[in-house]
Amino acid sequence: MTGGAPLQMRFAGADLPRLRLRVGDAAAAAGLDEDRCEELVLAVYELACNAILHGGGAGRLLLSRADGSVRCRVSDDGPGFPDAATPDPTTPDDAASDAAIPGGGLWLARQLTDGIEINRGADGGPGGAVVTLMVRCRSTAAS
Amino acid sequence: MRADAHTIAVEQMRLGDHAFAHYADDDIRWEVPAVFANQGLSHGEKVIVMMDPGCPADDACERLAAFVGGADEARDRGQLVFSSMRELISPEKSFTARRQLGRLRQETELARQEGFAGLRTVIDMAWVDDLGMAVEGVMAREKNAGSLFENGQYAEICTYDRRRFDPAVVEEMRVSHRVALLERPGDLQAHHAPGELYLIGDADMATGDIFRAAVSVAFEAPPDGQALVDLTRLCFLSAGCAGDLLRLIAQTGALDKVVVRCRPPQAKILRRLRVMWTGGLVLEETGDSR
Repeated sequence: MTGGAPLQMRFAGADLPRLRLRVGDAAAAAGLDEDRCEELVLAVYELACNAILHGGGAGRLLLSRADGSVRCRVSDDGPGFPDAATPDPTTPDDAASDAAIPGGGLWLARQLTDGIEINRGADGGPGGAVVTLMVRCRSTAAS
Repeated sequence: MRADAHTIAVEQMRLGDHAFAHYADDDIRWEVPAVFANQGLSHGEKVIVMMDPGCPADDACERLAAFVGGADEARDRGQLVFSSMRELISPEKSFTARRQLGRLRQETELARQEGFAGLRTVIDMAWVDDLGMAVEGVMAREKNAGSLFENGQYAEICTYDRRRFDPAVVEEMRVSHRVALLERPGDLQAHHAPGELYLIGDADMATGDIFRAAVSVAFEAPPDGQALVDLTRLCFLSAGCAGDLLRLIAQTGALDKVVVRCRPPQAKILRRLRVMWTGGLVLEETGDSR
């Protein structure tokens, strides 16, 4: 995110180490301290695993800084969340699953960040999942 | 290639380290240098890349850019430099350890004068053939370069192509460097000692099988019914692997006590999974492993 430009990348399974590196760099450049960077990297990794395992084997990442926070959107072209089963990120269906169950990764991502939005339909289309994480930068963090 | 007490992932390298790296694939060979360069640039250090003399600088920069955000900009401002051993020792034509070490000291000093925190170099040992060097002389240099690193302003990776060098030479070089790197970023390796398990690299979805197998082996016959699992050389611990560790601890009947030595962020993840907590587990939080 050099110079405030957003970080965008497409990823599949083999790209996960590179994705973690780039997210960590972007988070540090945005001003997050080391622990918060590590937590954001883990949260994004869990969402990326969801995209790979449940969203067609690949996904897209968009990380940007706005209004004193870092926002990270992970989307995919999979079937999306079924109508009756949009996950509740406040409950751990299976918190230690490496996203074997979508709710587990979302629950952990919620635990590690300051906000999460879950939507169906990437780019307004009928399919795909879109999850956006938000982490406040230090100067505006609540704690 | 086996892991031992001085094996680390490239992400954990810092100024003052002299590292051995290896590869046997023309794509994989870029990964460790790229991560090393990226870490240096993000820490405000100058990075000099001396890859295979047959590889043009523009091609090398393009390869590194897959991991290095802003590689072109760093090159433009002189923070990322592509060079060669031939160029480093110029105007001398033949290599001597004295000449090379002297030039690297000069480059470190120059980097500091330019305002950088220090200097990192990554050197593909293909230069040995390029300059017609005898491997014995190179090995002697590698073993006697310690003074370069003493002031903590310089770090170096020497990368060995296993297809070019005799396996015995590669192994001797591996053990004689202060640190030896995993072959690829994202790899996971385990180092076992009686009652102790040291995990190195990334524990995630791709390496989960290796992670679970290593933990299971460590728990098979621990002396005195106790085991140590050291996570401090892990660069990444996924929630899935953290949960697997807790699950395996809970399932083993042969242990009275398991000490998990870890860094604070890893401890935080393990505590968040406290629903799987079990008696006999002791978390030992420590700072960086190095």
